[in-house]
Amino acid sequence: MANIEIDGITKTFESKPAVSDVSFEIEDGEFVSLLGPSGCGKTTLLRCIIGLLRPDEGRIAIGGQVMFDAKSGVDIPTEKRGLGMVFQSYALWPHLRVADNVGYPLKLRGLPRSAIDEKVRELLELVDLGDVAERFPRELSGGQQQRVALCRALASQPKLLLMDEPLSNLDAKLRERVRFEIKNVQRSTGVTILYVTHDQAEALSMSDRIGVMKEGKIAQIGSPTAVYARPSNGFVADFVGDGNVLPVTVSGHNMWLKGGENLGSLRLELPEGMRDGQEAFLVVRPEDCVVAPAPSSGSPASARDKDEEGIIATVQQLLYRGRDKEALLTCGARRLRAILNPDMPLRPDSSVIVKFKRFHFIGK
Amino acid sequence: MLNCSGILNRRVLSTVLKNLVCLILVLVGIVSIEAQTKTSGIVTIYTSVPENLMNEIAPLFAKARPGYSLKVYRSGTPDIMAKLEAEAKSGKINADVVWVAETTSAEDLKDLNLLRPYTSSEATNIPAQLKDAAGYYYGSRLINMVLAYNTLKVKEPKSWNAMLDPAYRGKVGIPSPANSGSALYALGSIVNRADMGWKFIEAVRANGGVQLKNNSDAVQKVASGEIFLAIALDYQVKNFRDSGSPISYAVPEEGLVMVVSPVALLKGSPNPKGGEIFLEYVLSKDCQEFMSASQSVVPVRTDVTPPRGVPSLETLKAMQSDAVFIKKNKGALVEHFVSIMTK
Amino acid sequence: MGVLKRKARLGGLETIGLLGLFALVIYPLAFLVRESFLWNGSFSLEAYRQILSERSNYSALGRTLKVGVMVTLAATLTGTGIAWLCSRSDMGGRRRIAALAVFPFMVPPFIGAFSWGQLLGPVGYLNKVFFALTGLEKPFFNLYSEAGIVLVMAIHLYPLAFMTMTKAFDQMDGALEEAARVAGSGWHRVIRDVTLPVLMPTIANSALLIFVAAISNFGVPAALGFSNGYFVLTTRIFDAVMNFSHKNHFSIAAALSILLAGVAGIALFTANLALRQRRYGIVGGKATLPSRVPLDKFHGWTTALVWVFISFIAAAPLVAMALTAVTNVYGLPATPANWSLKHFSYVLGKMPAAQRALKNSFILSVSSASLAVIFSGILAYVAAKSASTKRSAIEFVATLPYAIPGTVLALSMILAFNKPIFGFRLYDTLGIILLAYVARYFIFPMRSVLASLDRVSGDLEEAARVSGAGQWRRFKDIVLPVIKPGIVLGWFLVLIPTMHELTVSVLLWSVGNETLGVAVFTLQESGGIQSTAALALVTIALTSILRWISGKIGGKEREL
Repeated sequence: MANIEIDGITKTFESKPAVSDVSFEIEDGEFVSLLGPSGCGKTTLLRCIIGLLRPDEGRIAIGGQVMFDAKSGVDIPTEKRGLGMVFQSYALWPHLRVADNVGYPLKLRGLPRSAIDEKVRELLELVDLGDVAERFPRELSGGQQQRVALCRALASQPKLLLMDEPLSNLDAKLRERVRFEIKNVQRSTGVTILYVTHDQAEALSMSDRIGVMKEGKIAQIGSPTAVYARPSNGFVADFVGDGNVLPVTVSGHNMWLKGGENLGSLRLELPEGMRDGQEAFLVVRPEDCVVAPAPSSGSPASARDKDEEGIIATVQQLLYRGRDKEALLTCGARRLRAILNPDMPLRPDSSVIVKFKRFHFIGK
Repeated sequence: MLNCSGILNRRVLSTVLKNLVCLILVLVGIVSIEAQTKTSGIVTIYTSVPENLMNEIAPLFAKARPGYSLKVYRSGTPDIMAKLEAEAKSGKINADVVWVAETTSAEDLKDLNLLRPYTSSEATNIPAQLKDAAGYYYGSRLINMVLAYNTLKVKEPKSWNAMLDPAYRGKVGIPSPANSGSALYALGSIVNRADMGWKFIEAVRANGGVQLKNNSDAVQKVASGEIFLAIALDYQVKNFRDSGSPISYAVPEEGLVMVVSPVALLKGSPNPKGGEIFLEYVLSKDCQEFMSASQSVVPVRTDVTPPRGVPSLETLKAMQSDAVFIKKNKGALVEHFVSIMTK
Repeated sequence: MGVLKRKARLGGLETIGLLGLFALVIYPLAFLVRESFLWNGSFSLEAYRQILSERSNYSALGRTLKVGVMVTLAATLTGTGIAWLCSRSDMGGRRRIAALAVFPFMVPPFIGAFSWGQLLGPVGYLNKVFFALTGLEKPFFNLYSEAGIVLVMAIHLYPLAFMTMTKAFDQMDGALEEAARVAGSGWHRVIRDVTLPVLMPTIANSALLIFVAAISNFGVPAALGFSNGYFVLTTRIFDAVMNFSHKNHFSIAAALSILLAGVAGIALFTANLALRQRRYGIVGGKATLPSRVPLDKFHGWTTALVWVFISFIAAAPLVAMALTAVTNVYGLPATPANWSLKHFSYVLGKMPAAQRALKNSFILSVSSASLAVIFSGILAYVAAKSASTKRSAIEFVATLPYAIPGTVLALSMILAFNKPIFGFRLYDTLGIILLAYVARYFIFPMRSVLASLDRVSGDLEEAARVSGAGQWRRFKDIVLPVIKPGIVLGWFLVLIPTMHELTVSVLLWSVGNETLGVAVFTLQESGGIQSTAALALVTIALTSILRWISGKIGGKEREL
């Protein structure tokens, strides 16, 4: 059963479209992320779903109930939608104790005091915060505040939990910990989550599916693996996983980098349907680049053995990252990122030959 | 520290708020109902007559005219006039009687068509110059503008001209005719005299004279010594003098300014009969005798012999006051006075 | 921006707010506007033509603006400075200074003018000391002047800035300042570059209130400007109201009042325009306590200076009043031989009107403050969530009853409520005074609540919506507690002036419904200076007690 249906949502701010004709569905218990750079409309979409913004067009249904429909004029107010939300700023009420913050949605639903206390304790214990129930939000650390906000959003057992960049106020270490925490909570509660972030690592590590957004549209939606390994367009490839997107021309079994024919050729298995002379994009993940030092004598272009495969490139910058080393290469006018073995003896300006372990074509 | 106070405060605040709202509604309700239930024997009067006098007259009236009692709104004459005019504009007069300090106000009210003419049976003993020919208002008492002086700074002055004495430079004052009808009377009487006229006012200004807010301002400032000499109301000076303040008054040789305090009935009032009964009471021999005895007020009736120390109408040495002239030229008088005093 | 970026459905709250605004302000003031367009009973622009062709009105307008601006500058600077020292520095005796600093606001302006006159008038106590010390005959400061009017008004009004700014300093998120310190700013840079700009909306807010209070004040220019012919618009209006021989004097007064309201309106729109882009939500869902600034080597000097200044302006008029109140015989030196408590025993024991007035004013001020707070809380919330044009309109209408002289408001109230409405007649009851008080003063809580709302970021309320709270619940559970400091402050800001209100009540009271202001005024009119001072002191004492209680209820703002 399709739990959440988002159908043709469009929202325009002063004739500038923020979200245009977005449609997707979320299954029960699924964890879907909206990933994209700031200003891509992901937060606007989120606020449309929860009802804090009124879309211009489209239809939103949750659990079979129509929450919004521009055509029929249905617009259930936020407070009646029965959803949960974690705000970027957490939005913890400063005048209420932690327990009261978390218990508030339950109080609104008219639960008896004892039931509320019980549920609040349960929730706080779930995120290891049982001992701060009687404190005020300002007395907590950022990570603790974040988890309180999570508990509050979960308290009413929402049909859908929306999270708006919930980790952006936390430091790197804590962010990783809370990521696990959120996953844990989802597993134990089975809640459906729509998660907005600009951090691809967050999206990739937590989501069942990721919708990558660009300029108000969903550029691609799919499983993390699909989005990562088989991006359907250059934007997704570039934004997710910093993939290298190279414009190429196919010629025979060779593939030529556009504008750099003499930089070398690669004998690649072309996917079906690709014709000779066709122009396409080649997507290669940095970790799929195999880099080897080029033969040291003579000019790289002329000294090449005709049969040897690989693209000739020059090292521009090397970043040591502990378990590996990231290299920024230039080949002609193109830039290429590659992950190297940290022990590889390369220096800036040295010439290298690059081969691709795995790759993926995107039609032009 | 934080743990209990938050809840406590919230609860206290919301309880206090809830209770307050209830309290307010109940109180306002009670007061409103209370005010609306009692009517029949009540005579409402708007007056500028001093509070201590009204405080004595009210119970006397209730005793003398059983079944009637007095409801008093006491304020300055301007407040009374403004209130009455606004009430009239909105179509409902709430007072039966108006009793103010001098006749120009009564004339103003007459012009505004707010007064009801009435022929008083008591008025036969009141001289014609103290009442309106058509019966719109009746003089009820006489109050006098005299020369008040600070006894620590000034020897009893003989003439209004003491205000021009360079020895008192910057220490003389005249209450503003804009705010006080009796001050207007004094001004009108002074400028109408050939031997004083506007020259006198100009000379006072040249001697550093200032205009004072009203009569009580004049008396207070003379008592405190802020100024030494001022035109003031006799009974107000007497109040201060009796409490021991270094202030007294002189009746200048040119004469004092006699101000007639009129009482009148209001048109369309809630209790017209009661208003008439009060008006008759004020003009009655009983009341006139009481006022002159208790407040040293000069009686308006020729058949009342004033007690010792209170002059009678005949013995009073007063300057000529032309009520018609004063009333007619009120605006010009005030304007000219202000232009001189602010030069 | 304020509570919510989105124009939400306001429904019930908006209806209540706008209906209240209609009943309290628009309906009565419509009579005033109507009056201004009447001449000899028919429609005409004659009143406006006359006031605009009268040269003295221009000088009065100029003086009104001048006094308004000078009082605003002096009071805002003083109030903000002392508020900062009390709430953000480590100055000594902060709590006691904070308690004292509010005192001048509790002295009614007409009594303040009177008691400063007792001190600095030509024969005031201080000038007498000065004469004795120097042998000179000329006072060292003449209170009866423009400077005197500005001084007395600024002293009376600076607590407004002080109270508003104290709340703002306390509520501000310390992280904003910390960020600037981390960025390498010294404390003086932090204050200049972060604290003041961030709080600018609040500062402008209190400056606006002070300006409106200054231009609409009648008591002070009437007491100090009269003898030297220094007229401002309010005194001109008063003259027009009282000029009964002029047939259309009400129309003139009405037109002048509308001119004065226009001045206030322009000030309001200017302030709003300047601040349009500057409403920041600085109390968010995540906050840290601000830290105190060490005064270091200036610590001793600042502490001493502020103490002397505050205790002088707080205590001097009280001492002057107390000296007068215990003076047995007025006009004789205020030496112990001439002391007596008889005036206190008179007003407290032998003056029934004073006792009724004490009771009435207590009921009136507590209830009008509470009603004003409830009503303005709703209206401010509605305004904060409205589009900016509508918000400005609401703010403007709400400012009107305070921007015109009390006398004129009272006359409008008579015109509007003299006749029964729905069979219920408010006139001649405490009810009409209550209504007039709420109308006149609800702008205080309205502005302090608006300032609080502007400082609270919108996601707090959105979080409540998401939790399932409807409009009333959000308002009650989230908005109200968060803006509580603004509400408590607003309550107090209505409580004090209504405790001793004069100009409105003097036309609206009736027997049994006397107010303290009226009782004090009547005493002053009938020449009982000492009793006047005694009753004024009793009033101030009562106000202080109420302040103390409201402090107990509303304290602990630091929790937020």
